[in-house]
Amino acid sequence: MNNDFEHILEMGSEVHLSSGEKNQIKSALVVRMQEGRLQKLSNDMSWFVFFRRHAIASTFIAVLFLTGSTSALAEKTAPGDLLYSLKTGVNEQVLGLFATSPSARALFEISLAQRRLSEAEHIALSNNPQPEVRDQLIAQVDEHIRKAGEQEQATEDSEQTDTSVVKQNRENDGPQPTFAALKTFSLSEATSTASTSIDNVIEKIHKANARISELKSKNGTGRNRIQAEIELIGARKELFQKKDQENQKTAEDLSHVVNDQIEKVNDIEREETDFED
Amino acid sequence: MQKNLKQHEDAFLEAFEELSDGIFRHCLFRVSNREVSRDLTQETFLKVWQYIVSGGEILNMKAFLYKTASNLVIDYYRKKKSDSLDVLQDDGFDPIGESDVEIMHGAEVSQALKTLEKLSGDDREILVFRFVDGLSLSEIAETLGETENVISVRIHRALQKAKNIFKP
Repeated sequence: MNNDFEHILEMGSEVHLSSGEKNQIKSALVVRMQEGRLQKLSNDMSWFVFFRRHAIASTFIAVLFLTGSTSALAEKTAPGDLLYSLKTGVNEQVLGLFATSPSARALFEISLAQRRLSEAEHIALSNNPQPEVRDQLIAQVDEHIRKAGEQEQATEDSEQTDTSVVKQNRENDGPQPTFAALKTFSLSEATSTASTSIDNVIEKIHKANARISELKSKNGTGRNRIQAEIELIGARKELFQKKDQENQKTAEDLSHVVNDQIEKVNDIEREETDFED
Repeated sequence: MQKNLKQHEDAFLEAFEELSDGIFRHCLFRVSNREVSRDLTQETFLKVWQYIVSGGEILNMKAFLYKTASNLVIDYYRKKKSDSLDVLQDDGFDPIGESDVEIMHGAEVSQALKTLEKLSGDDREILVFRFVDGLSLSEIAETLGETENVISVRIHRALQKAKNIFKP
């Protein structure tokens, strides 16, 4: 009897699905498999369909992304770099479109002058100073200052408080350089005023900075602010030129000293040769 | 990727041809109802296929299918316990009577099923695995996550209980 139960259970192994039942289950399984395949295909296609439906928008976004990233890269370039022309020819031109009022255009020109001056400083400190490129940049700085001055002339002075502040400062500082004087800054004139000490120029920069800060604290955006900004960039340019001249002079002096020493060594060698003979 | 999916489909349909009768049998000897067993068999294969499609890895298909079927049987009993028979009948559920099982599978199988119904779920499960499904000790151990020794002892005890109950 003990074996009977096990035997009967083992007889159960003969129980099986009918062919109809088996086909029914298999059909359900195949349908599920097809649904899964379609779902997968649908998932794979969804991005493709999305981009196809929104082809124009997608292309626009892609172009925007590519140009945006290239443009951002160009911002860090210096003269001679591959994307520098993009920086000056496109980026800055586009920025200029947003400057609609004379005062905004003046500030925009000042910002361009600051950029060119920074590039000139960068080149002067690099291993390859390129004097001709530096001179071109300084000439561009002068040009931007000139344009800023023209816009400054067109700016309506609507801030009485700013005027009073500037007047007071000017009285304290003594005679201030007028724009007419500033816009004549050039490489040749900077050379002629080389006798002015670097300390005086630095003092001038400090005063211009202080004036700009004061005007900014009073939300000054009018003519006075532009004049102060022009004075600042002019003084910065002057400082750069003086330091550059000083460096060149030091380099020339050192070159003379080295040449003298080489000459002396040559003389000693000649004397020794004569003595041996 | 598409080729891989096709390969999976073919392999799974082969497994279905080979193991569907065994899974059905397992369910039948656990729930004593042919229609429910058929549904559980179908659900077992659909669930395992879903698992494969979602990236699941199966090392032993046979053990995995039996484990899934066993879990579905447990779920079935849990659900059955929570739903009263009245509610099921109101919903149109019509369980097959004992006589239907007897007609379909013979008087002895019907008697064995009656005996199994009197055992606990665990005892019934292990006897079905061993004698109806014909799984080896190692296969049952892998399916239930136990050692072979534990499985051997459980089979011996369950068999003793069944033999005390069984009256041919």
